[in-house]
Amino acid sequence: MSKILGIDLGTTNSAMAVVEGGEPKILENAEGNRTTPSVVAIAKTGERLVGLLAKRQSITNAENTVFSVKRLIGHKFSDSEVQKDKELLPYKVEEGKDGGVVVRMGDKTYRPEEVSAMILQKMKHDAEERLGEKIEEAIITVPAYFNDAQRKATKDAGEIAGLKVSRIINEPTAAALAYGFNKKKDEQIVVYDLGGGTFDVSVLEVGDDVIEVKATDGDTHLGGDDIDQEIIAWIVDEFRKQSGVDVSKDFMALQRLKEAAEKAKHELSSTMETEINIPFITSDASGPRHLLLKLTRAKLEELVDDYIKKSIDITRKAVEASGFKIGDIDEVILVGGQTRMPAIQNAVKELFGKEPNKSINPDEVVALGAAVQGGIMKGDVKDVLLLDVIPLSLGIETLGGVSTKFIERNTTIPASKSQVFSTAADNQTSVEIHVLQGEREMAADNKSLGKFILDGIAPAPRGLPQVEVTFDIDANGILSVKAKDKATGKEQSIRIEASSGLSKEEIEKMKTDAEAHAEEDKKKKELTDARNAADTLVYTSEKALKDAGEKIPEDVKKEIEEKIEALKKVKDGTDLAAVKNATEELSKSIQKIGELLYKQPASGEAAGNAAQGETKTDGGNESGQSDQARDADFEEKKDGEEK
Amino acid sequence: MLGKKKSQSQDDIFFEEENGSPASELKKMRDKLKECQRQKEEYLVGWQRAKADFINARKDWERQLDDFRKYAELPIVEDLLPVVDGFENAFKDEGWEKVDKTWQNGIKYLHNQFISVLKERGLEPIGAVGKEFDPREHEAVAEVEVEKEEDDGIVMEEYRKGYKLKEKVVRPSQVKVGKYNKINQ
Repeated sequence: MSKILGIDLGTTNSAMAVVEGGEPKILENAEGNRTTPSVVAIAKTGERLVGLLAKRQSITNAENTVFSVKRLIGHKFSDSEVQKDKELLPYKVEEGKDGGVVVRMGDKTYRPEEVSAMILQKMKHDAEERLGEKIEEAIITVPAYFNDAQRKATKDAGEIAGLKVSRIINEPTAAALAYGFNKKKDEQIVVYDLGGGTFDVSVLEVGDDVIEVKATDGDTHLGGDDIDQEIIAWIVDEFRKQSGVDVSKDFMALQRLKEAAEKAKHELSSTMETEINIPFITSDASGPRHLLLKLTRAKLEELVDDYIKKSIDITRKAVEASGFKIGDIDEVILVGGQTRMPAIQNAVKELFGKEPNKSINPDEVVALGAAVQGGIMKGDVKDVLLLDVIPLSLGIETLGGVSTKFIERNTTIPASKSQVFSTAADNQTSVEIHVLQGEREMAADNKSLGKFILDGIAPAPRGLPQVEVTFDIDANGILSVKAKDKATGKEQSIRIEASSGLSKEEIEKMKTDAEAHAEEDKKKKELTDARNAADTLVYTSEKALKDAGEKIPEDVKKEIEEKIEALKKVKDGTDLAAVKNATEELSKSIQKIGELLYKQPASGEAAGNAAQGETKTDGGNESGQSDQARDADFEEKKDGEEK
Repeated sequence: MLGKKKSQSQDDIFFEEENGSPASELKKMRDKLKECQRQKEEYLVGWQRAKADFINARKDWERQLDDFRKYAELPIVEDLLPVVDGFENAFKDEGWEKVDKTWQNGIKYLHNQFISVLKERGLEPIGAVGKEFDPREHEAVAEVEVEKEEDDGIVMEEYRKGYKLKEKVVRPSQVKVGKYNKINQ
């Protein structure tokens, strides 16, 4: 029952994911990163290094550091691609005994699949560390244009690494799976994948349970690195114009420029303008030189316009080759970090006349899709235990007709939750539990599922009794609501069958209603909250006056009484500001009681007691203002109803 | 719904009892019991698994939260490192010594103040020069020819300082590594 690891074995970077709890999730490697550079090296000490560590030492050990081996896998040495790439790669690419390709590291030669296996082995190992369990199976992705030999070699790489490769799937297919597009029958999907060094575009058709690749095209040497180079060239040029200094030969300065260029590029995906600031970049006879440039998004787009146009042309060609028209394409998916650039997103959007899918991290979408494929293959286990979610929130009506949510919508069931409420009036002996369904703020706008009354509560001041309300919803969607008076242990409950639920259309309507009325509901709720707070303050103030009695000077007493009256007058109106103001006024005045009492010297027992009593009411006052949630008690019962 | 199911299955048994022979009845009951036992086992295993998954997920979440707390400051510290670099590049510049001494001191104090704030957060420089090159902490940016054979593979110069935050490498030291060339010597 071990998990199947989904692996995106990329040209420059690789990523891995597993399905956990029905959702695909990226696994971090041992270094704590979500992607692993596809680089392998044999250090001078003979140690094998994979990933970030191999990359960091590549300069001192260039001839024993292998990267981009994906460009060589499954090829014959005589293939033109190999002959071309051979010139660009710093390590030795040789012909193997069988006419295949081998690369040299140290005094040994390795087949590309052996090198890929080293990357896969590290990923397997790191995944096992993360998960604390053995990984035996994997799904590995390859570009859609890979031929049988390349696929076979990739599969072999997996086996060498000790993985049973359950399936080799196409990268664009994986991306479509990550978005769940395999469920949409008869759809045409374009996957636009612009990574660090390669560009691929694929046209897919979703049929009955299969995703078929209709056409692919691309450029094996077009990617984010080209864009970085353009930015660096621009900075060098601008700096020369500004200062007359040429840093293009200064290796160390270029190193800093490269980082700054990448940072600027990333920032310009979310801002319109960025500052490239490298103080002390270099120094000459006239002293230190500083680089300070502004790069706008418009300028960046101008710099890389040719690359974008080229990729769009290739995309158009691929769609033509698939036999579809641009208008036939139902979905467009963006893959690869470089697609974060707004100009690229816009160009793609313009071409297809629709918003491309970009909600899943474009660096991770392929690995996630591979994990989804693994999940599908293991799917039989999960089906037994399909857990549902509740489509609409469940709650009860509280003071002022507010709908207080208990179980939020989209909660996975079975679930249960309880909360303690209190009474809203002195000597209230019963509470009504009104069970509601829906997203609206006010009870009247939601659907009523049922109500019951818990009585026999011992008479007490408001806020003192504790009534625990428990919602319990089982796997079949049957809801039980129970209310229990903690003092007497008395309880009442109601059971609501799933059948009293709503049709799909009704649910949708309620959701859209909630969105449409969000603003207006919020205002209504705000007013109710303010009224409740005012109500509480009036109550505590009157109580404070009564308790403190003659210890308060007449003028203060009069002032408070006036303000209570003022608040009472406005609190049931609809003017939110007026209610808030009057509440604030009263709250300020009532604090004077506390101040006064504290100032009075402790002249005997009586004063001490009074002070204590005062602190209490003051506390009550505070809670009345700030602790509205807890004080948003049950609907106030009319005297007649209580009995 | 649950209640309904129960009464229906009871009805089933009742129906069977009336119509089958005792032997076949017994067999049916046994089969049913077996099926129930199998199901019970399946549900129990599933339940245990779900519970274990939950506990593991919570542990994982707690570990992530710990990590997050421990390294929450990492991104901001990382963003501040170029400022530290700027100070250090200024000190390295030939023109620095020509600057007025009081100003020199002032800037140095500023630098110290800044560094000590980062130190309090757990930031430590990675020493590099004279150590053997280690890709776990160092990133090679160039090689330099060395005269002594024992300097081969040793960090000769730190071009840009690397830092650790509580054991985690925030940024590796960018270094020049010694290269001994037998033929030239």
